[in-house]
Amino acid sequence: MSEIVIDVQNVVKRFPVGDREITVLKGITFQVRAGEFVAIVGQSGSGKSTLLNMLTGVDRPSSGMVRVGQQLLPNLSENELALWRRHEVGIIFQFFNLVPGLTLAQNVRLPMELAGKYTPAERSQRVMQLLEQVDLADRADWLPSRVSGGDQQRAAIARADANQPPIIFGDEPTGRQDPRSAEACFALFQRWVAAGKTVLLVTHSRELAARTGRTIEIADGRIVRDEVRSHA
Amino acid sequence: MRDVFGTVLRYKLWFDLWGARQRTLQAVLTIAIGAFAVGTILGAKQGVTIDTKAAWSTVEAPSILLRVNPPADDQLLEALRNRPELLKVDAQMEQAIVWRPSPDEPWQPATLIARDDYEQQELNLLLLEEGEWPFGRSVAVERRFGVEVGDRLELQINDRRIEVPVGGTIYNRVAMAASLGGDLVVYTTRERFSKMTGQTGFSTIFAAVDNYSFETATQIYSKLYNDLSEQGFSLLPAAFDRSPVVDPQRAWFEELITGIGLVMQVVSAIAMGLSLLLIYTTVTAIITQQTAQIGELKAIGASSRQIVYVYLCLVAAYGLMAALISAPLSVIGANLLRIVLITRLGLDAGPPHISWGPLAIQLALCIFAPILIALFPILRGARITVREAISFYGLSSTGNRIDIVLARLVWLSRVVSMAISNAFRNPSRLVLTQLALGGAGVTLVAVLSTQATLYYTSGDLMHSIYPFEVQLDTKRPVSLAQLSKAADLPGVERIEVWQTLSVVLETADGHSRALQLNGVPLPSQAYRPQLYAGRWLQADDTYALTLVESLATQLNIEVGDKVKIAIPSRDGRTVWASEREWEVVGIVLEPYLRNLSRFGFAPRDTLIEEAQFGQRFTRVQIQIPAATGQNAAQIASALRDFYDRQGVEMYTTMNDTVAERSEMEASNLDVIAMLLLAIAVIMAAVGGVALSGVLQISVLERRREIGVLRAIGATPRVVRSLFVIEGLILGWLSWLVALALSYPVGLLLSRMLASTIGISIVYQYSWGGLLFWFVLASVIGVCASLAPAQRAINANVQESLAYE
Amino acid sequence: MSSNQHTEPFIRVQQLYKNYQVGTSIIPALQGVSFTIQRGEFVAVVGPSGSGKSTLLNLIAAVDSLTSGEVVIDGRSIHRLNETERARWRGVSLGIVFQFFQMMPTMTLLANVMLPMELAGRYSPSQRRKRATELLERVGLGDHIHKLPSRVSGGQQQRAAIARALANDPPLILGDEPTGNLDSGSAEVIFSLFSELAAAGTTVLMVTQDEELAARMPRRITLAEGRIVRDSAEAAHA
Repeated sequence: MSEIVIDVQNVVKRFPVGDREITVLKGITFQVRAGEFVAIVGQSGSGKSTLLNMLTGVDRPSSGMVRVGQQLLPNLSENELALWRRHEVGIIFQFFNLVPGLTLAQNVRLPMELAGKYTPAERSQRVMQLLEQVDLADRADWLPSRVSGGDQQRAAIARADANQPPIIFGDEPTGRQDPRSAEACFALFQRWVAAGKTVLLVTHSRELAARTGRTIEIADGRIVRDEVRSHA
Repeated sequence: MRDVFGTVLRYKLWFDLWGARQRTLQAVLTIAIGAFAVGTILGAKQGVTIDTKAAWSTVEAPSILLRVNPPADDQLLEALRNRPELLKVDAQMEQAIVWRPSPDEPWQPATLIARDDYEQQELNLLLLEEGEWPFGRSVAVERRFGVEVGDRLELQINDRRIEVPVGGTIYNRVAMAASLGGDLVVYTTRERFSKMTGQTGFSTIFAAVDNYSFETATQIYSKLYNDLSEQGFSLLPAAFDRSPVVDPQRAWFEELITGIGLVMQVVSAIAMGLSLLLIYTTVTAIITQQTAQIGELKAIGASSRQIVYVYLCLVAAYGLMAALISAPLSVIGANLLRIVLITRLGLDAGPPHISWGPLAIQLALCIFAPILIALFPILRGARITVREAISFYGLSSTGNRIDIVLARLVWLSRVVSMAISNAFRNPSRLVLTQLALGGAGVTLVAVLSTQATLYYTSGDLMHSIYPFEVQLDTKRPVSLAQLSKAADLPGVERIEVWQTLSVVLETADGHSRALQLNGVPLPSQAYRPQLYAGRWLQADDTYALTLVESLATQLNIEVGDKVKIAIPSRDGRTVWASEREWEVVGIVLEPYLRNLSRFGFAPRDTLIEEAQFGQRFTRVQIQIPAATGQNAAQIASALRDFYDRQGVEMYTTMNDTVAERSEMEASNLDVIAMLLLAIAVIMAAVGGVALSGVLQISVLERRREIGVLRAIGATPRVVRSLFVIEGLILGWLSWLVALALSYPVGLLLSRMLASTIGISIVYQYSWGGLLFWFVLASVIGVCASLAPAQRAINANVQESLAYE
Repeated sequence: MSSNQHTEPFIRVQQLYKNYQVGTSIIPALQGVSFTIQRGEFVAVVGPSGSGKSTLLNLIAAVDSLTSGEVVIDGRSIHRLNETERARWRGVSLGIVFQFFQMMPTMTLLANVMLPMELAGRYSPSQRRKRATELLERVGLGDHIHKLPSRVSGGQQQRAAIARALANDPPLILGDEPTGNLDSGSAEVIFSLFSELAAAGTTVLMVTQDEELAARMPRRITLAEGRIVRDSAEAAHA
């Protein structure tokens, strides 16, 4: 058995709504081992995006423990979280993705520079490799505003691997793409997994989920199904 | 810096600058406008100081001025030149005359002056502006009175009319300039002067002493006074409004310059504050717009520090561009403003000049101030958590207490209550808006109150103190019977005669000053004192006097103090007709600039007794029916003619009537009033820009709300009224701020200004200004909200509802 | 106006094209969508993200401009109206329920429901108040009418949003994933409210990603890549 890289214990998340609180996550516990390909599914409002926020350190649980890699996330400050994200995780958001003023290539390069990783020559080389993988090499020097939402999302996927993090998170990462590109992206995720990375996606597409190695279904803030398939 | 320029973030910087050119332009102009105002004002202030210093430093100003009677001959001058304590001595012949450019124009007062040798002046140097020095019949005139070389003038001297050609114009830095309401000066040769006036001597003598101090100069003057008196000359201070001893460093326009300087400094401080406010608003708007981007950058591993640098670089770039734009413009602006002010003073402006100090302040204001002020919104932005930045749980804002109250007001239209709620939704922004707009309102009303105070003091106040419209001064003391004859003239209601004497006042601590003492009948009908301290003179008062406030302040005299008054003797046998102690019983306000208000009041009968020349009087106050200025001037001139026929000689001035004197005072204050008005306009404009900026941010923040509103049936008109009402509410709120604060601020500003330029004031709050601000704030509220409203309307509903 | 309603359907969408310009490239969102809906129908629009279903809803609500084609509702070609006329039309003919509730945050629920009546200038002030109270009671919020939206739960906000959509008694209700952000219990309440409306004769068109919910609606229009790939009404015909 490979090591546990994501460990979630009894996570509860409450949001204040006026003078009351609503509980979005009602005690979530699960573990993910290195090299797993996991889909988290559920209706909108089920709490799956909130759960993803807990795993990426974007938000903090009201109670419970979240460990990703070696880090206990709730213990980290905002700044420590930023430094941690540089090296340890890649994140693909559903909507907010690219810095508008930078070309696709510059967007992919940015995390390497922020982290101070690789030599300039290596960076250029990596950027082109990454863009080729998502079929955007010919648009490397375009600004995000000139390409479609699907292209933007693929550039964001390429960027998630910029610093070769061991874990990659995605929130509906293929939601805005046509079926063919979505398929190509999915293939890329599979290659990452094959290379030993851990990939965790949030999606409401059961079809997509069915092709991952494991599906965790959330409903009303609880895990209602956790199914591991052998074929992935 | 490496965080930005060492990474691809430099492209983001470029994109933020060039990709959003309009925003960049707005930000740069915001910074540049404030810096330009500061640079221009401070630069002009420094330039004016340099120019006036330069103009005055070559005047060779005397420190002692003597008016001798009979006029001095060459022998006396020679004797004075040989006195070791006098460094330089010069003299001029002077006579009051009247002139007109052509027979169909009215006579105007002028001074006829002659110097011994125009090529060999020693003191109070005159400069030849154009043409030639006076020679033969040809005269020279003071410049900028509309009289040119080659013109001919008609002069009337001692009943003789003479036509003279003008051969030159002269720049006299000592005379009050045409632009400030001075009278024409006509220069002629010594020979010609004697021929025209019949007078051969010099009536005015200037002398310079070594190492001027008031004390040494006064000592030298006293000695001169005694020596000359012994030789049979009677000595009067050079003019009723001037002390015989003057500081040669201190130019006659010094007080005006200080006043202007103070106003300019206040304006530039305000401009600086407002400019910082505007920068803050602009940067906050940019950060608000880029909140999602900040979240994204953080999510891919940017630290708060890196984000802070990205935006600091952006702001620094704005600042640099603003510096590049505003620096050359303010150098030009400062020079133009300097030339306008200097010309207004009747002086020559120096060559173009760069004031490095103000320029340095301006550059610092452009580059460092935005960075410092932007640090707050940037740090706040960088501290946003990723979740806050990228979350969109419906419409983000929550209502507050005001909304609960508004909800109870069922009769209120929803649109109005929404606008009210929006205006109060963000307390810190509300404070910011009111700082700018309310600040503008307070300043505007305060400035207008100050202006009203200046005008009231020189206008209504002067009329209330001097209810008798016409005042004439005789050249020699005249009997009551002779003066009273005018009472029977048509249009004359009543006359009152005064005795005015030039006396020397000496305080207990040894300071002495020449002043004019007005002997008034008690009670006086023609003088209604504006008391500052103590009491007015009573019918049974004898050796009691009241002094004008500015003089009392200068000499540190308080009510109850005893002072020595020395009255010069008229017969020349002794120096003083009277030397004794008087008591200061009151201090009064007079609406004159400091250098015109060296006088006091004493009981007429006591003064006549002490002066020892019988029941003779020198001033007549004439009451006429409530009349317009024009009318009064006509009556004054009829009265002159009447006395002329009676053989009573009067001094020629342009200031026979209260209206004329009030106008002269007002024109002295005009430069300052004009500056004050300019500030008021700038303040209003800046307030409007600030409000517009704040409303722009509101549009950005409430895009989705507006989208929802339109989706449920709000027409563009409703959306527009939503913003216009919000703008109006913010405008009216600023009116309330002005209502609360403008009175004390105006009082403070008026007092500061008054003490700087040396006048006494009676504060007048400008209710008109308050009303004006109400109208203006409403107009600003509407205008500033129209552009943001249009932006909200133009935004596609679908875009507004979209999640990105 | 709709005298010929027997021959003319309530909603007629004809050859609808919508392109988005992204920089220099053009992205087609709808590529020739045509269908009709009769008065009183209860229709689900389903399809994956990016299939164009939200764009379609936006064009039916006339909150976005179309590239070509026509949308005729109750005999009116709504895209030929100007912005003010459209706003007025939306105010009285249309109720929209959004995914994220979108109540005006600074107004009580009551005021939120009264707002469309005021904007449309309908009913007297006292009638508005009475009507809004009734509508809120009808969606089960009678006890909360004086609360601000932030003081009630998401499900309650969404019920209030339905009450607001009904304010002017419009013949057409559009829902843009109205249950999308709710827990399943609240979603069920919302769905049954929509069902009741449809049963009472209001035309309801609802975009949803929830396949279970869609399965319970009488007609489903499925979009993919900007085209209709299946319309259950036609399928039944065929």
